[in-house]
Amino acid sequence: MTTLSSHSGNTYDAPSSPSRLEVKDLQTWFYTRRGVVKAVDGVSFTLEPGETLGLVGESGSGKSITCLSILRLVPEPAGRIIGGEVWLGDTDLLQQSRHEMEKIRGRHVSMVLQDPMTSLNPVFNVEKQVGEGSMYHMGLHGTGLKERVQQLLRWVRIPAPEVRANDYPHQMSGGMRQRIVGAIALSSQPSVLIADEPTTSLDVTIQAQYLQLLKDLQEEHRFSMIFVTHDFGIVARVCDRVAVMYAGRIVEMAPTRELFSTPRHPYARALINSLPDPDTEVEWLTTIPGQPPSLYDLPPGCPFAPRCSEAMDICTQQYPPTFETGIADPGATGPPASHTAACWLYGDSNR
Amino acid sequence: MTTAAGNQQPLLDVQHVRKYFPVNKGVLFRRPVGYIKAVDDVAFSIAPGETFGLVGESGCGKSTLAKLILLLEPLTDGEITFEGQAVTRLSGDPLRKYRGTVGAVLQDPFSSLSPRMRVREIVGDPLTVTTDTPKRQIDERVAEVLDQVGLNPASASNYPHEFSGGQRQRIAIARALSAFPRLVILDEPVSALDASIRAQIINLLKALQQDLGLSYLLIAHDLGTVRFLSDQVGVMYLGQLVEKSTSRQVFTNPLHPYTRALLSAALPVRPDVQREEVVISGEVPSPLDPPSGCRFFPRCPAAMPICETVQPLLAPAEDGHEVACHLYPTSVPQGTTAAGSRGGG
Repeated sequence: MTTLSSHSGNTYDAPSSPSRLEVKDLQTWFYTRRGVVKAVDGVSFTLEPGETLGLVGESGSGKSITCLSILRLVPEPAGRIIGGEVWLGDTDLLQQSRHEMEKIRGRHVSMVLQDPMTSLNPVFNVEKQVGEGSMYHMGLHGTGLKERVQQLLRWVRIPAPEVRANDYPHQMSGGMRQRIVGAIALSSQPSVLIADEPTTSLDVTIQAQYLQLLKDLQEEHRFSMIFVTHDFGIVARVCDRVAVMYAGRIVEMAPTRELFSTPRHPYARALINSLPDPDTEVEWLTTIPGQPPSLYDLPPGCPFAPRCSEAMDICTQQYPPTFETGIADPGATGPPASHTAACWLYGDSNR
Repeated sequence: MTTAAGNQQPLLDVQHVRKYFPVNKGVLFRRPVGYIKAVDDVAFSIAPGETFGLVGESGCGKSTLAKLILLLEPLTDGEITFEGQAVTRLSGDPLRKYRGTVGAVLQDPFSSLSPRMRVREIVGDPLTVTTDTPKRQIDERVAEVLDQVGLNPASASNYPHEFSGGQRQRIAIARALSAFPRLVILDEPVSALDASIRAQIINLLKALQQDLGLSYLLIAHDLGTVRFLSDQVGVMYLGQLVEKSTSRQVFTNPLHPYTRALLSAALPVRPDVQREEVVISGEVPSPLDPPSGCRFFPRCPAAMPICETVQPLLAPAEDGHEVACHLYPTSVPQGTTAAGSRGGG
């Protein structure tokens, strides 16, 4: 029996009960004419209630596909979740029927996408789009729905919500549009919010406002958040813990401060060292040689090995398991306090 | 004989440049009902071998300014001087030559390179268009610049789709360099690239500048890149420069409240770096109807009554550090009383 669908009574007004999200050995592959792309290949992590986990990586590293897999929105038939488990509370989302998923999506897990210009429908007004979730999941309509929409708009700090509710997306600025998308995602008070590069299309000062808003909303509504980004600065500002992805796998996972102070995986270390820092002056930047690998033809062993300055023989032969490296930064907090890296440098023989 | 660096003739000198785009209304009788002041009285210069970094949010006029310097848009007013020669009214052969001496690298190497042209044609194109170099010499030059940007000269016969993002940006850089430019305009040169290859391209740009004595106009919103590459930095807001100084001064001692907010909003690379928290409210107003007085005053945490009515002038506040803000007495236009600048409070 699933606890999630047992909610299906009149309890939708309350926030959905905080649940732990646990992803176990998720594999999402794409079958294309050129071959099989292992976009996500054995990703595992947990997200504690109220926590913010950053998912960082370059384009093609599998961070967005991981999120889409959790929501079961992988583009079919090319893409298929071929293995793993996604537990929300005591429900395995991968075992739910299409119909049951519709009740979970938007209700318990919802998502904010990158570009509000494409994620909002230009021909419907704000009220219609913000209210859709409340209508579907809470059965609201008429005045009740109108009031609910205005409440949601107030939550995301839209001024004069009774007027703005009748606006169309093109009448709003980029920052305001993205707040509308936030209101839609929050409309059923989900326990998990997935934010996929929500500020990439915003200007820096607006980005700072939006990140602050997300943090305030998280405080008020107690959801946990998966924050997908390629920007380490955002990670530093909003995330409790960080998972670094490379070529479809998580290569390092640690509390945020710990990752920045003692990155363990050579990829994470090189990436952090290569960032131009507005606070210091340097003569040359540290670079990572080579290119990200093509997912069509990954090298055997560790996919970072060809670019890695510390590669050993075993790295080109066998993919490393995930090793616990221990917390180095005593100031680092965040449950659970563990620091892992998928790298042979931390294998037992090298300790 | 070389003169001191201070009074050396600038390579590029931009004086009081304006670009207004008319906004038309009406179907049969279209008439302008207003102007978008995309660039409004901007002045700066770039010394030979130096980089001028332009920062600001989207819509502040950075890219329009780049187009004006490339003479891709006619100026509404003002003058652009290149190597001591006014270029704004060039046409014919001199214009062709000017276009060769100013190169450009654009943001997205996936849309800035024609998929139907081979690398040889793409990179050689500026030479073909702006000079009468014979084909064999063009091919030699293409091989030379490909080598300079770290690509195999043999790749000249390939098409862009055969390259990764970082390699494509190298091709775009090679194209900008092929006609021996003195100035290269870099409009967000790394923002479309993956994080692990950005540093390669940024280092390459710096190395090329040192080897070839190039000047750069760098437009970027990533302040880390701007600080790394720039000698001088200008901060733009709604079509105007609000602060201008050396890179070090702007980053370590920002004077304008907007610059402070930008630096604060720019996320630190490390979480232990403590920043002054300046979160400014509101959004950039429409350039069609900019605020009176100082354009930043509706969002400014330090706004005073004078800011609403009197436009501050970009003037040196402390050694060579120019700022347009009424917090600094030099920005108050003459004729406005000192009492007025205090705004009675």
